[in-house]
Amino acid sequence: MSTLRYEDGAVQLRQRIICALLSRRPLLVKNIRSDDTDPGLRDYEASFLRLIEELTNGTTIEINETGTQFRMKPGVIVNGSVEHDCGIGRSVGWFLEGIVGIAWAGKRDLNLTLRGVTDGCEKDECSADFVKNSMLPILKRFGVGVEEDESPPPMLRVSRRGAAPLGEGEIDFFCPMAKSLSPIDMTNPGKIKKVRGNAISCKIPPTSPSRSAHAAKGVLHKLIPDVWIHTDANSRSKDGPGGCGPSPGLKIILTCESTTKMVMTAETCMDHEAERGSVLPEDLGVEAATMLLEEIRKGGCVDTASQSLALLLMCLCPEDVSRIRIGSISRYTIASLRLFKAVFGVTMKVTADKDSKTVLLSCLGTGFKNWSKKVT
Amino acid sequence: MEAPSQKSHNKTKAGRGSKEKKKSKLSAAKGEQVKRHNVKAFGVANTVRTKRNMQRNLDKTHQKEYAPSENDRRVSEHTQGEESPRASPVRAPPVTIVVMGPPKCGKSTLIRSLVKVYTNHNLTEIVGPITAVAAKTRRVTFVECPNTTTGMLDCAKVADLVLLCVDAKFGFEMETFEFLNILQTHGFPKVMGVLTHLDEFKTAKALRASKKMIKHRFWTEIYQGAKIFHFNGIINNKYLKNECKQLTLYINRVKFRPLQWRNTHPYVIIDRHEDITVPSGPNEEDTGERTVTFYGYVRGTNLRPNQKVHLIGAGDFQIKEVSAMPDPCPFPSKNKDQSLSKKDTLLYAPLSNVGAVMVDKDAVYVEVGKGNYTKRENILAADRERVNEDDDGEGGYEEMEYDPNSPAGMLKNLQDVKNTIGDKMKESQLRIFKRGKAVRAGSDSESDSDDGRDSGEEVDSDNEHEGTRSESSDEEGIPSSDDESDEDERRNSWKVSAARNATTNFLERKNDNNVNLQELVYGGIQEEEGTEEEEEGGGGGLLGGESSDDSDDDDFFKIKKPDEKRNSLLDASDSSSVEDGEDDTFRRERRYKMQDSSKVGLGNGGWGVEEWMEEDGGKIESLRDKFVTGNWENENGIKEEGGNPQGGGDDSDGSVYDDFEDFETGEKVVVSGEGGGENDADYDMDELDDVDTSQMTDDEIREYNRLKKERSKADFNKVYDGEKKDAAMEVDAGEDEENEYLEVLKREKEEKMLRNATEFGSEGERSRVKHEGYRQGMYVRVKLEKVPVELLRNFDPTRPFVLGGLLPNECSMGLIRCRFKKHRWHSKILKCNDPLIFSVGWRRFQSCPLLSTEDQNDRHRYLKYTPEHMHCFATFYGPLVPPNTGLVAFKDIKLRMRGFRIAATGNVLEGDQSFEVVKKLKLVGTPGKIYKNTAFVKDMFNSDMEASRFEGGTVKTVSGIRGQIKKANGTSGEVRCTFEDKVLASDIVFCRTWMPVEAKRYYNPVTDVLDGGEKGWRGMKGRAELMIEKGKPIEVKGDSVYKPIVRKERKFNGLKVPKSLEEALPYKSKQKNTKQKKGGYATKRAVVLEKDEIKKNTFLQSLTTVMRDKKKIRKKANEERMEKKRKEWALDEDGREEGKKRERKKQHREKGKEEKRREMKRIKG
Repeated sequence: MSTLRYEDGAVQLRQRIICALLSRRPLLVKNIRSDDTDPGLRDYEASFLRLIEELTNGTTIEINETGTQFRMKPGVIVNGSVEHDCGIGRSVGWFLEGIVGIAWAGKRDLNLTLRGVTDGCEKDECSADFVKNSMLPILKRFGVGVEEDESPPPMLRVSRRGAAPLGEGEIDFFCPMAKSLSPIDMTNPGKIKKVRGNAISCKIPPTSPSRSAHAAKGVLHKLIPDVWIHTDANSRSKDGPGGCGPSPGLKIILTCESTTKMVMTAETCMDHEAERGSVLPEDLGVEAATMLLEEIRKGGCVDTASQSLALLLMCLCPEDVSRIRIGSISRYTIASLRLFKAVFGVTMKVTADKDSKTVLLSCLGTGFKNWSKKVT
Repeated sequence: MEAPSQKSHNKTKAGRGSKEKKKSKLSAAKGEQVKRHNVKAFGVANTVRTKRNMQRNLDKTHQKEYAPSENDRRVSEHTQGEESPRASPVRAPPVTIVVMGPPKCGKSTLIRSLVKVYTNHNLTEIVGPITAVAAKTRRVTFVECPNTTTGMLDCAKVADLVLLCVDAKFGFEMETFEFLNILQTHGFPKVMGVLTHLDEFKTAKALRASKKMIKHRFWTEIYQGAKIFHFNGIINNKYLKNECKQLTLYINRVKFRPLQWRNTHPYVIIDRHEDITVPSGPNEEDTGERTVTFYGYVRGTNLRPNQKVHLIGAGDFQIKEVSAMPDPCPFPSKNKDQSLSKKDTLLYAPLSNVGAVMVDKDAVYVEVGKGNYTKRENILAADRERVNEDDDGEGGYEEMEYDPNSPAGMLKNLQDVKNTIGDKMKESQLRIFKRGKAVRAGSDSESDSDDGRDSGEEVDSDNEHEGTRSESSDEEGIPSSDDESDEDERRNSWKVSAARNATTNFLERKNDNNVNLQELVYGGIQEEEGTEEEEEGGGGGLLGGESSDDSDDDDFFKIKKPDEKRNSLLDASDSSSVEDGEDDTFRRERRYKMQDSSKVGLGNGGWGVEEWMEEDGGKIESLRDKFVTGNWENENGIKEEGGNPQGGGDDSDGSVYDDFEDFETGEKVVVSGEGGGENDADYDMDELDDVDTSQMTDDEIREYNRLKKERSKADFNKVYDGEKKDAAMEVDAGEDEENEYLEVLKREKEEKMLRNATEFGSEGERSRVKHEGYRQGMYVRVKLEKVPVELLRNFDPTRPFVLGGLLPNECSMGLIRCRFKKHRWHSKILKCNDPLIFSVGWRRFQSCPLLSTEDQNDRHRYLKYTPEHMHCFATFYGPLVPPNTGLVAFKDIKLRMRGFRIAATGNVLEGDQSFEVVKKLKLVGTPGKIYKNTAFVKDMFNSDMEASRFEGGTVKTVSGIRGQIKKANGTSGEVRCTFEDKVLASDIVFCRTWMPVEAKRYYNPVTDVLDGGEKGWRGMKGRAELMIEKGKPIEVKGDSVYKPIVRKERKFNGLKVPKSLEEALPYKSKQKNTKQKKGGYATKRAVVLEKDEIKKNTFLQSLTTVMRDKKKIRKKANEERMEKKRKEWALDEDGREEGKKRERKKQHREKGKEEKRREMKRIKG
């Protein structure tokens, strides 16, 4: 099978890896930060590769001496119960986002425990809560864990908070295996009927999350009365479950649901590098609310950050047409679409809907089936 | 003469009987039923029968119900005739009919007769697939199955319907059963039996008996009631017309069940192929790789252009290029209502010499029959001399110089071409303006870029300029540098305000400007299009006509190439997160992080916090309609668009009526036919009613009437279905629920099918192909590169040639575990790790299976041989296939093999990179030093390293004392063990372990097509085969030989009870059987006999001696006699054996003669 070759370094690393795994094509990435003073793969990237190795059987990964090049020969996705320490380079959300795409395609159900930073990186990457609120519903839309007599639906629980930069949080992720996905037709965004949210704080006074929740509600109440924002104040616990890690942090995540059960999520957090007290909790609340409004304004059926997951799953559907409406295509999504074309040979039909200023994407699935699953 | 009259029967004229009769007669005359006394009591006259009847009806209806299969992707053949103007319809490919049977049973005759019935064409030879139009909605492809193992395998993989020819006079043969078994493992298609040679029976009784016997055997193999046809006799090398007609009627009605493999894989049965390698030089024959095009109908699922394919019997190839060709055997399009007329009947059999002209994509082939022409220069001088010598005064070759203007001369000139077309193209010039400089094809244009629109290259370069320009400007965030887009904006009336426009983000702006998002996302399409257009020019235009539409988008910018992607991503993150030139490590790290995050450019271009929170709250309020609290009227608009994504926007703007005007000119049909929105339908209905038909042409009126009829029919159906549903509601709830469930499933499936059919059709054939590949039923030309030249050299047209599409997963190698069973008709059990030829999916390959069985605790235990009558597991190395795929295994595929060739069957359970199969291993040691419960066991391990791995392991002695390994002792491999009791020094200690056994990574594809059939291909030989070949005896392992067990007699010491103990014991327990001392009382005493006694003794002694002697003599005599007798018997036996042998030989000779006679007869007639 022809190798997927990339010479542009650690761009889109997670997606390339999971695409290689799903299509069972070898992957070769060159020039990883080769011009940098500190060349090669970062710790978190290596950690992700290790995680992949743990989740699969027969995967061989070769990294060259300087770390500027690696080659992966994919094996079979096995899953099962796996524990992994993500370190503090990136949050567990970043790891999860990569794993979600292959979690359903293993031999067994996935019981994944990740340790590391759970909050405080929302500016750069999706957090675990985001994955839970936005991506797991998409997974369910594609029929993963829908038949409840077979297995429970995918679940994610943050058992211990750990804000950036020191982390020490923990999440448990469960995803049932699915034999194949079912095609979707998500073209009707419907009308927003409710907003739910969570304002989470670690090691700071519990008034802060309620203040930001209050401010967010202030904005959203102008449009809809059904707004419910939970506040979750955590204090440090040295060890054991519950509580939070050593770093302080504050974040707020808001999720809206429409009449057609479309879910969109926005989140923001206090920047841990910024000076303390420079950002008011109220500002954070307002920012999250406006970010959610921005997502709603774009008018898609999924939020911008989850687009590429939905599109990946569309490519893996049976050979039927799947359709989705998204607000606007993000750069990341464009890159993903090109990747999917290269790996699976799926060219999506991309049409702009002038009226609602949205983009409709449709494709014929490749007929991917979870072969790893054992038959009796 | 009158016959004597007999007394007739006296009818009763009185009493109850006569009354009843009169009554019934009367009512019968009136036409009414006999009225019973109590109507209510006789509501159900026959309870049992009614009950049975009801049950039967229920059963029958239930049998008809089916949940739509996820798997079923076939096109219903009824849609074939209807030509949708927008999207070309999905046509079902021809039905593949495989005609199978042992040699000389009439396969070719059957095909010939059927083709004659269908097309009225007499085929001279049956070579390669033969496609014929069978009916208005059905085409068939006949494939004759060769009697080779591989040929049967290939046929079984593609057959939709199998006609199983059986020579009724001879009965079933081994091939038939083998083929049936192969069919079963590769998905069982429909099978119909055809009995031939029925005219050879002499008596009707024999015929009947034979028919019956065959029928029952056939039914047990297929299913009870499987269809069998009887063909009596041959006229003109064809079966009787009437009998063939009957068969064709059935063929036209057969419904096929969906087969798993074929509904997930595309495949092409190759009609013909062409070698299109560009000749490189005189030595081109030697190069091993060719470029070959293959032609055939796509079957199964969609064939994607970048798919990998497996050419069965040759290997895997990456498709270089696929293109659609005009259908060589299309459905008759005209006269829908009439039956198939003679004019329409069509036949396509390129390998069987049908027709003389063949139109290809890049050539037209004309068959001119047999004829040779050699150029004069090429003929050897010697030949020339010879010709000149025996001339008849015609001057040898002088006559063959042709006039260049005559047809023959032109042809000759054409053959004498010096340059290739490519060279000529390079030389060619084109003058665009009268006084302008001619453009040469090869040169890159520098000066004349003004008129560059005419040459394709120019447009490209132009686009590139624009693309880079607009791209850079957009990324810098300067909104108004794109003057072209501004023009477009002015043209578009629905534009919103410019202020808003300025704030909308980069991508949305592009939407507004009609930018082809498709191109934005997938860069580098242009080059592909170039080649495609080129192809269309030559292809005779199946895809023609779309190129003009696409060129509209040419003036939009060209997209960043993939290699620019990295930069673009960087740019995005740069602009958002890095403001200043401070390039510290943190920033850089941050940038790297942003490269791999789905939140790249999230906030880009949208409204920020400040804008949202503006004082008047207008921004927030503008979203009101997106919430449940807002206006709901807009909702429908979105929904409709969902159903009709292409350009639905215009409709909702109130321009529905514009569309309608289009209808009157015949164009609206297009839109309304596909739109599917319910509101649309209503509009049209109203409009249809009050359209003035007086100004229409005939065609338009016809079209109009058709539409109207369709509408009213749809309306009626809707109402009717509703009524039916109401009626159905009254049926009891349980049944209703079930029906509803099925209904929902069916509706979902229908919706899905509709979506599949309509989603990609709108933009024309080319874009449709790009999105979903080549659909089933299309005739395609598949170009493969690097095809070994042996494929062409050893091509055998009589065997089927199949191109099977592979899913991406199927190209990677791994271990496959399958459930496996030796076929009960295969004479030998199979040995573990002996090579077997597997046929799984499209592929056939040789591999070494590792046999195992599953223990209670899921442990897979190694097996040396397959169990005799049981399933076991086999693990082998090969390309991965989906679970539940059937497989069949052969020991060898040689033609002449005795017995049943199928060795085993099975199905795939899972694929993985490693599987654990274990084998029992007993480690043996002996105790060295023994303490109370501890012993040091030696000789079990070789080193302390080895021993330390077994710490905690359980051990056991032969006598059954259990223990545990505690720790390695020293470096010699000695271990300390504890036992539940003291072990003896003579005990042997076992450690029972499980050894993992690796499956052999051996994979050898069966490339018989390349190697010229089964004879050419060589696989690995089995061990036994090798031993026989080399004449080596069976290897005997010394350790495995059973030797007589020599056990030393054990001598036990006597029991010694200490004296003191003995004394203390009660009498009962004292030892009593103390050994008597040597020499008892009698021996010690001397016995002196009396004279008398001596005499008696001597007498008795002599008597005994005499008797003994007698006995000895008698025994000897007996033995001699017996010996004699035995010899006699042996002689007799020999004679009898001889006689039997003679008898048997005679019988065999008779049989052989009979067979020979029959064979001769068959060959003759």
